[in-house]
Amino acid sequence: MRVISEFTKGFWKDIPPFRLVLGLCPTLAVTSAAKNGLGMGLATAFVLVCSNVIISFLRKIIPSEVRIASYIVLIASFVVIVELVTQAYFYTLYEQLGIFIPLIVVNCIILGRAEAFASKNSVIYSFADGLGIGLGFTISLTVLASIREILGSGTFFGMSVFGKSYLPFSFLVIAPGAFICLGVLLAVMNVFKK
Amino acid sequence: MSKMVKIVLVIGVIGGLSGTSLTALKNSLNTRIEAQKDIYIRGPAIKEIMKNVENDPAATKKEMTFDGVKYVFYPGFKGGKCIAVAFESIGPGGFGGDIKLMVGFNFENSTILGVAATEHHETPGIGARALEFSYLSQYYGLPYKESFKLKKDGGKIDVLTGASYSSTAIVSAVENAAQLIRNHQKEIIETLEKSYESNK
Repeated sequence: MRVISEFTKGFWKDIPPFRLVLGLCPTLAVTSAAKNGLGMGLATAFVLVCSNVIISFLRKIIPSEVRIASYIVLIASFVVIVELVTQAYFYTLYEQLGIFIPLIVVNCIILGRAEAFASKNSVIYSFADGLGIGLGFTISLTVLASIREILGSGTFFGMSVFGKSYLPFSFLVIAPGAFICLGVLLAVMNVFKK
Repeated sequence: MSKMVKIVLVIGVIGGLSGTSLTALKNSLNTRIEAQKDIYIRGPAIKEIMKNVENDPAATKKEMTFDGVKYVFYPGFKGGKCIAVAFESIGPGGFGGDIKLMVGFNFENSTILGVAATEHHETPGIGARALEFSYLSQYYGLPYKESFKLKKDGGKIDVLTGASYSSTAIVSAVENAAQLIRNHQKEIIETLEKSYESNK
């Protein structure tokens, strides 16, 4: 079944941001705590699924000369929906993610999937592709953020893991720690690939 | 030519539809967002400003309109008398747009009770430093019957180095709020006390 393969490729073969090295800015910036990583991943996944479906639905109507402009308007609309909903129902998360919610608009994964996949495939496949890639992105961000939070602050989703005697490796919470964590994870993935 | 028409039509329809649907969503979520801001932003700001009051200022808030502008007043009562009020004031011209400040007034000795930032888009580490307590605390206890001016304009307020835009916006926000109190103090106190009595 092609639908299933389009869906599952997002979990290993094309998993962003490790295999599909796109969208590194939010990956590195918001993954200092597991909750933020999960929130950012889900927000991006929602925008990705919605934009993939609607762009694939409109792919024969939108003239190719103005496709990028149309895609950006559609993607931006879904991002504003996410921004308003998080503001109304998850205000603490909204404050934590801050500027990175509006910046989902320029996340290369979303425009990349719209251009490379949704504009050429049917609605069903685009939905499967968006859901797979989006969930893959959520998993990557949550794993990366968990590693950084557990070792860097000794907590996991805000709960203490090692107890009070643990001296946090706080280097991992700041920006250089994000790069190193990402590099180590990529190396581990390459070992398993062979 | 027909290609051109199609392009304009498609872009126009997509833009128009997303614009209208987002406005509708924004309108329907607005009360909910304001409630969240009351809990997470204005609530703590008011709590920081108002101490020693018998009521919960956020629960007894009251809307009033002056000169066509709607204000939400958060009153503080002691022994049934309105001794303080806090409300949000807008300071235009910050480096990242308008700055919103919660300004508290103490009616017992006619001084500023406190100032706390509620919404701003100043640069973190530069302009945003002007919205921290260490800078805003210079307003605490100043008499509000005199107008607030920066030192370079002959007033008493210090400008924060590197944050002159933010400092100017803050002083105008406080001055705007103080002006409203100077002009309408009696009216505001009477209305707030009346609504407090009737809700008891």
